[in-house]
Amino acid sequence: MIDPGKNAINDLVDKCVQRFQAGEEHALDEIYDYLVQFGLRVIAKTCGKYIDSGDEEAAIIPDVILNVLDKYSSDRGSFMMYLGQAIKNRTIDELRKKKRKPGLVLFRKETEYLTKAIETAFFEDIIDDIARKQEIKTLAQLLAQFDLTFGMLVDGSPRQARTREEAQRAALIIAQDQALSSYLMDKGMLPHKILEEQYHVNRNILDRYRKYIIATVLIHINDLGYLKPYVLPQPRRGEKWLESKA
Amino acid sequence: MARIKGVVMEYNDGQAIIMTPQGNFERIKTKKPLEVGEYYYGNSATMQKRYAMIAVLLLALTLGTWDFFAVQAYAQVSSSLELGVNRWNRVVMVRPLDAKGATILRESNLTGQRVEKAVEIIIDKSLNEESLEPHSAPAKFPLSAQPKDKRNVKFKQNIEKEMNKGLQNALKKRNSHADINNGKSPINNRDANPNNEKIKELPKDQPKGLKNNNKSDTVNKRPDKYENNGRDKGNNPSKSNRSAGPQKPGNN
Repeated sequence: MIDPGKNAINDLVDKCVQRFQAGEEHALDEIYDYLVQFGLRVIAKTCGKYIDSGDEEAAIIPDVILNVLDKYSSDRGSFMMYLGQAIKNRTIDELRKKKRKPGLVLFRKETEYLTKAIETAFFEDIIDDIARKQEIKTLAQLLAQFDLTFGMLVDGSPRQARTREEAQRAALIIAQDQALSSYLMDKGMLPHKILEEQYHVNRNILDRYRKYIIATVLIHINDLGYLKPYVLPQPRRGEKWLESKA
Repeated sequence: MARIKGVVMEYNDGQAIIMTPQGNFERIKTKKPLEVGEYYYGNSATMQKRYAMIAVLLLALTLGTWDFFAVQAYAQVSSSLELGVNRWNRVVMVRPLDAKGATILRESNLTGQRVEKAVEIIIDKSLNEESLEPHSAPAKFPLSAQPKDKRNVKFKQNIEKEMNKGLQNALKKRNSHADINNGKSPINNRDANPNNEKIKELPKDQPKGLKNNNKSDTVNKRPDKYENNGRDKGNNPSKSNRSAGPQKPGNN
């Protein structure tokens, strides 16, 4: 795994916070970007509009992070959840100070009555988004090694469901076979001959949807957990091995 | 409404690339700023295009229908019926002006017909009702047209021309029936015009159909050579004469 997923982000943040509280000031630098991204998402979802780092609403983030780092202790649960709650409360306070709109009052009331479970899901969704973003960024970098972009995949992905299934199946075969995936990574080409002879994959599909198959293989072999479910083929009868190996 | 959903893979100036749950990459347009990694729910570009096309088609259909049923001129046939005519010389509205008109309207469907055909039907019905003798002087059928835009003289002339054609057709039909009833088939009746004399035509700029009874008589009295017996339907007598050129005496 190249970049951390959701749990990995949580673990990393918790460890860095502990180190920071122990006196290691540089520990914060490792996680600061994640915390800012997370803060932006929380504010955006609380305000119901897109928030950029340059926006006025985002100005509270550094202050809240520092405050939370002072007050946080491990018995309060996950640091991200604690930070998220603090940013959300602060955002609502700021909005309350600014204007008193009827719509806003209703919104505040709604947020006040949110149960803890819903709030947890709210913050987890944001953390998921951040982790997914990391994986997408990783995939973009990996694709760049093959001179591919997402724009190319739009034009090069199969439209028909059946063809797409075939392409995804071919990609999964390559990803599961060490020799085939090494061949792809080393030579930058699909192992046409083996796929045709051993796995009876249609040559036309390999040629026409080469870019899509490469992207799918990259998702599998780099274990991009958030994107993998999107490119898994439907298991066929008698092909449970595909499912189990995936 | 068919919607598309998926993960935002790339976002740039109102355009985004998303990966759908089926693993397909789609390009979408959106006014809402999106963040890479977030879920997107909305209409796909293909669907948006399809909706736009449907909307344009519906609009064209609505406007076309509205325009078709918009009365551009009123045509009056005798004093019994008033016809509302659209820009394509089709009858879109009929209003009876008296009891006779109401009877004709009940018996025939004039809406959607060309003015020419509608006038023909009306006059035919009128003549049937009055049980006129075939060669007797017909009743007067003043025809008039009044466009909504009074400056549109060309349109007015066009309608009046069509109405006159309808009138002539009705009378022609009437005469041919009468001749058959009298034992003269249109074929046998060729002898009626042995020299193939040119038949006088109503002047083109004549605004009202049969105001001039002499002219109508000319039409009524002409031989049935040009009457169709099913073969030369729609033949214009004047045209056939013109195409034939000057007749040689030995032709007949």
